[in-house]
Formats: sequence, structure tokens, C-alpha cells
Amino acid sequence: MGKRDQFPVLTARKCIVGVIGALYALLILPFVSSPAFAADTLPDAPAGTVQIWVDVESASAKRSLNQISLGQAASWHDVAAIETPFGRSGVFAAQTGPVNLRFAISGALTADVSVTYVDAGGLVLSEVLLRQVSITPSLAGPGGWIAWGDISAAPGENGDARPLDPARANLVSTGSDLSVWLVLVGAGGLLGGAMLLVLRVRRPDLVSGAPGDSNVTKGEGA
Amino acid sequence: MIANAVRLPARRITRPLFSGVAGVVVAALVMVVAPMPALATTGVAEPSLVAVQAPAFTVPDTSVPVVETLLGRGGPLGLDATGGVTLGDAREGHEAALVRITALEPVADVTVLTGATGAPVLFGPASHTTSTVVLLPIADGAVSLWSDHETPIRVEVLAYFGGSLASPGATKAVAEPVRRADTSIGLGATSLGRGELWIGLTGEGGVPSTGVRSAYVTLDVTLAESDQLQLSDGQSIDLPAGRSVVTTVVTLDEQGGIHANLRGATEAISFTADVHGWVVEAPLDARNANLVGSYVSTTELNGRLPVQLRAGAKGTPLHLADSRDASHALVLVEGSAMSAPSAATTVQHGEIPTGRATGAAVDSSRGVVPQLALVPVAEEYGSFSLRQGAIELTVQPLGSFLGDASRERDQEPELTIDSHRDGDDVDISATGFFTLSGSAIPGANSIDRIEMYAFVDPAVTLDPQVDLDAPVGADGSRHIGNAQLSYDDNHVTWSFDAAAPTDGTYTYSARLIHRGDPGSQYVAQSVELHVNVAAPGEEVVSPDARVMNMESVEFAVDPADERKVIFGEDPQLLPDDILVGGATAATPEGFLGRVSAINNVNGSWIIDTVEVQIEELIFQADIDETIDYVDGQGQDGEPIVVTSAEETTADPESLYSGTYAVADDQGVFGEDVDLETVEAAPFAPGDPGAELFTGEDVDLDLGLDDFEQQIQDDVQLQCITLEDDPQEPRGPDIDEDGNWVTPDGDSVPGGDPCVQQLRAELNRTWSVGTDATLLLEVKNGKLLVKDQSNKPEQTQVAEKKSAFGNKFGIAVKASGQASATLKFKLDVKFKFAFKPSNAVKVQEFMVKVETDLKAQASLSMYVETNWKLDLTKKLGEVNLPTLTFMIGVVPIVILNDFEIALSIDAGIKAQVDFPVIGVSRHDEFGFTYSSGEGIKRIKNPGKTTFVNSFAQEVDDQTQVKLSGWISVGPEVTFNSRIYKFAGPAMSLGAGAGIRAELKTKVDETSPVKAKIEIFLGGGLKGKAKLTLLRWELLNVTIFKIEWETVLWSGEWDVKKAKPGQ
Repeated sequence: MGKRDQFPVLTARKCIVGVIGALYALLILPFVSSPAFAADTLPDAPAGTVQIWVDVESASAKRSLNQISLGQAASWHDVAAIETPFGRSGVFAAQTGPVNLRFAISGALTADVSVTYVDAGGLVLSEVLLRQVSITPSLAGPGGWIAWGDISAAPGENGDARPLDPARANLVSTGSDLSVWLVLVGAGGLLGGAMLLVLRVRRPDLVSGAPGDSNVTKGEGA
Repeated sequence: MIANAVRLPARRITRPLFSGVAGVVVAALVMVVAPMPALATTGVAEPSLVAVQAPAFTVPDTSVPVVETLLGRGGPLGLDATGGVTLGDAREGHEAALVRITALEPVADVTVLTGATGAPVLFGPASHTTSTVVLLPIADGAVSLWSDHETPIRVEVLAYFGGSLASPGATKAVAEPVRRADTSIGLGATSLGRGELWIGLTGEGGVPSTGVRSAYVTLDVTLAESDQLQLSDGQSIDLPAGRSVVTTVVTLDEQGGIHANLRGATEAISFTADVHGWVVEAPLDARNANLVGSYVSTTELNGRLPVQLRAGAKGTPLHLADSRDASHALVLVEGSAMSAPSAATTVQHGEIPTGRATGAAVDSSRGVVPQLALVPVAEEYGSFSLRQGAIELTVQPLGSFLGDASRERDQEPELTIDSHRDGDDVDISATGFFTLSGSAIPGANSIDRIEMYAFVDPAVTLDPQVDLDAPVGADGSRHIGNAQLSYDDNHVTWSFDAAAPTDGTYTYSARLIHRGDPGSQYVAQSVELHVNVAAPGEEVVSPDARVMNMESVEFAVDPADERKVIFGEDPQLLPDDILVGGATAATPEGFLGRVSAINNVNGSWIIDTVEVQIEELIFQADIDETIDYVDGQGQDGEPIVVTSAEETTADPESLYSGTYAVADDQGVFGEDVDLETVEAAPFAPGDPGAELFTGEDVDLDLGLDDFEQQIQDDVQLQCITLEDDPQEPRGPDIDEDGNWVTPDGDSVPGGDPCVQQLRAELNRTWSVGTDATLLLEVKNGKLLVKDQSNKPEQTQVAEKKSAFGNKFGIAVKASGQASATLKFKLDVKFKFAFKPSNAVKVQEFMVKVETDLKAQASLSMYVETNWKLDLTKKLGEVNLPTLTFMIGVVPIVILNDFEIALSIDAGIKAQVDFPVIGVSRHDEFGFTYSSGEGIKRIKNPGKTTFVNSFAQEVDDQTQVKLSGWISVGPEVTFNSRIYKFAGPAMSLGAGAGIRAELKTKVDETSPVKAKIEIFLGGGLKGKAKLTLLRWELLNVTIFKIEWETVLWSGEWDVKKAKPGQ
């Protein structure tokens, strides 16, 4: 029983626990512990983009957002933010390629900010949503503009960059890096799961119950 | 096996009358979960099933709204019914769309409408953001939407639909919304309050009477204070004070409608309900009842699911669909005001919000008004999330759209047979079939189909010629068809109309196959029944027949619409029932119709009906009746009623019709001119133009006593039979269009002499006599018909002289009698094997009329130029008493009537008198029809008697001229109807005619001679407008023939005028 004695907790049940840990890391961790979507990663406009819709949604946005400006091809296009029941919005003609945004405000605001890349038929090619972004006058730079890179979603809120229609992979590739990010996190999760297994082997004392007990519920948070 | 078996009526048991019995505890039947024998190994051949196609259900890729006016996408809605919104490219190939409309803080109250009639779909109070979801038809790539004033608006497409009536679960939008409730006009009820009102939803505006799984309904309710609207399918909808326009999807009750009431004590200020669409139920014997894209009503998830939504919190998964094969759930959502003042936001689907704010609008103070939501689900669950603030959302699952079947097997379906118990005796000897029914509970997947099987007791001997439409499998089972499903709020019920080929014991089995295992597994229930079928001679009528108005009056026919009947109380009729009414004071002509729509209007129940095919009502019967009204009376002594034509109209001139033409000097006729100048007779009620004769007064054979004594020496009567005369058309010689095809071969005209020993009146106990005196003259260059019937003789003579002085006059005195007998035969037989089929055969359907007509006339003519004319004057109407035959419990009401007219047909230039012309004749005409041989015409001439008369000078001043022909005689139009809707109409005309030409005088002293032909001018027209009896002979022309039979030809001396003329 030498090998079995040497690795008393490496049973089938514990292998399952390890896999669960890996899946947990893969699927759940990104949403509960990741930082807000990084504002400086505003995706490029995918092929086919003809418009970009920017919506800043909140009561304070209705009060304080004055202008939205879209930067493409080394020039800025400024528009007065249009008031809607949800906040304020701007719609810009756009083309494929890098995109930048900036805002002009008259006071501090907190809002959901969404950026939507739209093709000629109105189809959404890609979209970005930052939840509960704080935009304050202190962030203002030259000319009073607040750069996209200087805003960020509030901690704990869900940020999401959502490429649409996996079938349009060529379009997605110009959007967010979510898939790469998921792969990385997934790999990390698997690694974590594997480490968990190793940890179980090396530190059976972390596991509640008697040695050899397969109840590893307390170990899942490791 | 159950002891004390309950014997159920054969009528389908879902009717409320029997629902108590139907609800009896399901028998301890054997439930089988077993591998389904592969068809290839069992050899169970499929019966003829109805092919079905998957409905189109397309959720478009995420797009920005098709209209978002604040951001410059699309224009504002139009302000009249021409307004529309063009949809995205995904609309191609679809017929309807589920559309969310959001009114974005309008400056004033706004109503968004659809359709030409302006049906409301959204009410948006000023300064609030309000959304709704509606089903709209797509026409030319757009949907009809308009508003009562310009307002910021957002329009989003949630899904597209397509599919036919053979697409189970297909969502269909009606072309125009159908209003089925409006308390302002009493439609549905006069008010909406605590008491339930009933709204019919099917059978109008393109929504079929049956086969409707669910209906899209928009309710427009205005309340004085907030209340809860409750619907009988289990939905309850919180409504604020003021106006609300709510669209939801409802399941229907058996009558095709839904009950509604308010929970509180208030009464609605106004209430309307419009049907916008419906969901197709799978037809009977459908190969599949559900496919990808089908909408399936929720039966397991009822009630309101409250859920707290808070921005930033993940949405809790909610159980929204009955089965795992659902891809999207359709739910009704409503939500409270936000917990703190905020900008408007939206409720989104999924655990966390994504993208920009779309979805049901959340107004800070009004919350989410009740509206539909289409929620993606996985494993029966879906979730909601909120972008700003916090609200309590209430979710009511209504149904789901199906995706691919799930392989999950953790939930087996269940099946029961509720209509019968093991060992029941089922007597279908009077009804032909019975209905098996029960309930089903889907498991992990929705129901794919419920197959019905029959196992025949080996002791039963079957007729291989007729009983093997469902081939036998190796296990002895016969797959006899697939059941029809019906979704209500709590159950899926199934039903199947079953029959048996002969008396015996049969085991009927239902097998439920779900979508996850379409070919390998089933759940089954069986019931063994002792079935008693009809013997060959027994009368069998459909169990769907609902016979009323027999002993007492239960309904009346709407005077404005003969297809609509009115009940004072809910008659508990169901769509597709066959309503049969006996002959009563309220329905003197009986009634027959299939129920298509039901409405409650101001407390009365208005039932719309459509035509019924007789083979749907009568499966077996043999009626062979000769209808002769002995002594002028019908059943129960009811008399024949003869009405003079003048009494039937306020416009006596309408009784005359015809055309005429005048020839020029060369004898060439000009165009026919419609008769338009008529001087009707002054009506004298005591001097009828038509009257009933009975007893000794019946005189249908022409005799010398029909003529004035002073001319009796100058006339001769002749009698001939024309049975073999080629001048007479016969039934087999008449083609499909009713035209006479003259037979080939050399035939010699002329009938055989007969003797006047078989006088018609010996066989007739009644007749209708007529009398008319007409003067045709020219006034202002037009033909004037002057009816002299009730004028003194002196006036008649004076008017005639005046006309002759004006170089044109034809004076006609005509009289006659007519009588008729109807022969009616209906022989229908059926042979059902295991279910009702189209095996109802019409062995023979015959309507044959035998007429005796007698007509005599005198003519006096002064026509200087050649005229031709064709004139008819209606003389009277004869209403024959209603007859009722009973076939089983079903009354067959037959009505007959005929019209008598006088017809004058001439092409003549003459100055001469014919003091007497006349003919009497027996005819037989009609048709016979059978399923196998189609229609055959009947037309046989009988004995014909005519008078061989003489010609006479008009007066001693006028030189005789004579060239051409003229015939005068009666025309009888016979109408036979079954109930009031249908039946053949045939008209027979038989005129006594003379064709004559003066011969050149040899010298001044020689007598004036004329070459004469006496002929019978016949016309027979007939159409079978069998809107009731809708076989192939529907609207067939039975007869369209005119003929002339020369009865005599020879030479006459023209007599001198008598003194005084």
C-alpha cells in the first residue's frame, strides 16, 4: 500500500474536487474578483462598423454630462450629449479601427457607460459596458475633457466586454480580448486546481476530518 | 379492471355537461414505460397522418432599435393609419413580429395604435417612460404603428414568426386586430367589475374557430382606482388608476374565450379587448404536435413569481419553462416603482446586464407596466437583472418557444385516460363514433405526439375490404391515428374520436412520445371497451349535433344575418358544434349551421355559424318521401298559402320584366331594349291574380269547357304523348353545363296520340289558378305594358282600340292552373373502422318535381311593323307548408315554394285575332346525385293536350296580316330548400304557341288562308345552389335549355270578324 499511504487523499472523489476547483476558477472567479473592465482597453471598431453609440445612463449623467467626443483617425468629433429618459447619449459615424472617447461634464456623475459598435443594418457588432463609472471634474485634462483611459468602473461592479455572434470570429478579433483573457484565466484556474490537488497531497492537515476523509469542502476556497 | 363501470355517453366528454363524469378518478389502468417497438420490427404501419412543418421562430441578432427617435434612428410614428415601421433584414421569410414599443417621456399622454381601425397597443402617460410588447403582422416589410400625436419613441424587434396551419405552435398575427369586447357597446358585457364577463376570442377576423392553442389579446382598461384584473387562465394583472393598455397571451376555454373580472369592488370606466394573433394547435392526426419553434403554453408553472431586482446584484434564476427543450420563455412582467428617484432604466434578461439599456422600461415612479417579455432560458430557468436602482418584479410564466430536444431523462411524462374506464359499454349505434380523452403531463421535454392504437379481440371478425385502413402490427396493434392536444392553464388534455368496425370488445391505447425520445420510448395507457355499433338500417347522426328549438324556442335567427342566431342565455355551445333547429315560430324554416364564433352582446349570446356538409351531420339515413300536399294541406293540416304577386311588393312595376326590339323596313331588328314602361294594374285585394283551388275546382287538363260556348264548335282538342319525340330534350341528353345536346340519328318529330282518359285532376287534389289581362301598346316610341286585369271590360276594349289606332297593340287574356309534387330521396350510408373518416357515401340524393300545367289564352294583335318581345309578369307566390323529417334526433326541415308567372314570347307582324290557344301538360324534372356517379338530370315530358284553334280578322275594317310567331304560357319556378339555406331552384315554362304565315290569295273572292304551326315553347332552367349539400354538385347548373315542340301543322281559313269587334 506504499503509494496509497504516501498519497492518502488522492482518491477519485478528491480528483473531482480538484476539477471543480479548476472550473470554479475558470468560470466564477473572473466575475467576482476581477477588476473592473479596464477603460484603456476600449476595443477597436470591428470591420463593418458604421456607427458607434455611446450611452451614459443615470440621473446624474442627465444632469452633468455635457459633451461626448469620439476620436478616430487622429481627429475628434464632439457632440452635445442628447438627453434620454435613461441618461445622455451620442451617436457617431465611425469606421473600422482604433477608437477613443472623451467626455465633458459640468459636475460629478456616476453612470453605466456603454459603447456599441453598429453596422449599416443596425446590427451590434460588439459592445462594451462599464458599470457605475465615476466621472468627476478632477479627472479633466486639457480643454476640460475627461479621457476614456481615466475613467473606470467602480470596484465590485460587473464589467463586461461582449463580442457578439461567435460565428463572426473575424469581427470579434477586433473587439475585446475576452477570449484570450478567458483562456488565460482558465489556464490559471486549471493550474490552481492542479495546485489544489498538490496542496491536498502535501498538506492533508488542511483538510477537515480524519486523514483519508474525502470531505474537502473547506478546501475549495484555497 | 374496474367494477361498476360507468357508461358514458358517446358525446365528447369535454363538454361541461359531462365534465363531472369525465373528471372521475382515472381508472387503475396499467401504465407502461417501455421501449417502443421499432416500427421496422413490429411491422406496425403508420396510418395516414397529417404532415406538419416546423414554425419559424427567429430571435434576431442583437441590434440597435429599428426606431429610436431621440438618437436620430428612424422617424417619428405617423399620425394616421398609413403609419408604419420598416423592420430589419431578418424579417424576410416571416409573417409576424413580436415588437417592443417604448414611449420615451412623452410631453402629453400618448396612445400608440395599429391597423386601419386604430386598435390601441400602448398608452404612455405624459412625462413617464412606458414600454409594451405586441404581436404585429408584417406587410411589405413593415408593421403598422401610429400614434395620436408625435412623441419620442423606441421600437425593437424581439422575434419573428412564420408558419402555416400545418405548423403546430406557430404564432400567427391577424391582419387587423379583432375587437371582441367593448363595454361601451355591450360587447362582452356592459361593464367590467367583480362579476366575471366572458370574451369570445376565436372564429373572427382570421382566427379559426378551433385549433387555437393560445391567443394574443390587448386589453385597454380605464379604472377609477387601482385594482387587479383576473383572467380565467390564471393570470392576474395589477393595474393602476387611470388608463392601462396591456398585451398578454391567454389560453382559451372550451368555448374559445376567456373570463375576466376585477378583484376589487370597483367597476372599470371602460374596457376593450382586441385579438392580435393566435397560436396554431396541431391538427388531429398530426405527425408531430410540437417542433422547434413551436409555442407551448405553460401548464405546470402558474401564479406570480415575485423577485427583488437591484442594480449590481446578480439576477436569481427563475423557473420559467415547463420543459428543458424550451429555448425562450414568454412571460408577463410587471414591476413596482423604483425604491428611490432615478432616471428610467430597463429590466434585462440574464444574470448581469450587458450592452446598452434595452428591455422592459422601468419608470422611476410607475415601475414596469404589465407587459410581455421574451426571456432566454436554459434547463427551464432564466433570470432578470436591473441596471439602476431597485424594484420588485413580478413574473408570470405564460409559455415557451421550443428549441432542440433535451436528452435529459430525469422527468418522465405522464398520461391518463379520463373519458372511459375498463369494461365500459360504449353505444355508438346512433352517433357513429365516440371521443376518448385524457390528460398528459410533459416530462423533461414537450410532447412530440400521442399515438392511438386499437387492439381487436380475436373473436371479432373484420371485413378486410373496409376495416384494414390501419394495418395490423406483429403485436396485434393497429396505429389508428394521433390524438389532438389542447393546452389550458393547468393541463394538457388530449382527445381522439374513435370508432369500431363492428360490435365487439376492443382495447384502445394511447402512447405518449416526448421530443427527447421521438422513436424509442413511450408512456402508455389502455382501456378495454365493449362497443356497440350501428346496424345497417339504423339512423346515425354526428354526436356533434346540438338539436334545439324542438319543444320550445331557445334561439332566434338574426333578421339581419341568416347565419347568426341569438340566445337569451349561454347555450353552452362549443366552436364546431353543429346547431340544428327544428321548425318553430322563431325558426319557421328550421336551422342548420356549424358554430364558428360566440359573442356575448348586451347579455345575449350571439352565435355565428357557417355551412355544414350533410355528410358531417348525417352518417346514415334512408329517406324516400313523396311530398304531395293533399287537399292543399301539409303536415298537421297546415295550408298551402297562395299570395298574389301584387301583394308581395310595394312596387308593382317590379313584377314585370323583359326586352323588346323593332325591325326596320328591311326586317332587320335593332338592339334589344329593356322593358321599362309599365302601367301596373290597380290592385284589388278581393280579386286575386292567383288563388288556391281544391276539390272540384281543380282543373288541370285542357277541355272544351275551358272555352266560351260560342267558339267551342270551332276548336278541336288533341292529346299526344311526347316521350319518344326527338324535339323534346331528355335528362341524359343534357350536358354538364345544363345544355341540351341533340342526340344523333334520324328521328321523326311527332308524338303519339293519346286519349283524354287519364285526366290530371284525378291525381291532383289541389292547384293554383291564375288570371291576367295585358295590353301591350306603344307610347312615346317605347313599349308600354298595361295591366288590365282588374279593369271593366268596356275600358279594356276602349284601350285596345286606342292602341290599335296608334298602329301597335297586342291584347292578351290568359289563365291557367298549376300543381306540383316533390319527390325527395336521401340515402346516406357510412362505414367507419376505428375512427370517423370520409367513408360516408351518398347512395342517392334526389329531388324530382312533377308538374301539371294548364294554360289558355286569347290574342288580338295589331302590329304594323315587325316586333319581337319577351315579357314575363309574375302572377303569384305559392308557399308550401314546411315538412320535417326526423333522422334520429335530428330534424330535417324541408321548405318548398314556387312562383307562377305569365310569359309572352313573340316575333311578329300581324293584324289578326287568335281567339284561343291553349295547352296542358305533365312534366317531370329534377336530378339525382350519388357519390359514385355524380349528378344525373331527370327530364321527362308527359301527356300534352293542345287546342287546334283558328285565326280571325281583328275587325271588319282591318285587312288581315300575319307573319311570325307568338307563344303565351305559364312559367313555374320551383324552389326546394333544406333548412333555409339551400336547395335546387328550377323553373319550367310551357307556352302554347302559334307560328303563322298568310298565304297569297288566289283572287279577291277566295278565302284568306294561313299556314299554321301550333307548338309548345318550352324552357327549363335550374341551378342546384347546394350550399348546404356541398358535394361536387355545388352551384351546378342542372338545366339551361329552351326548346320548341311542334304539335301540329297545317292550314287554316281566316274567319271573318264577328259583329261588334
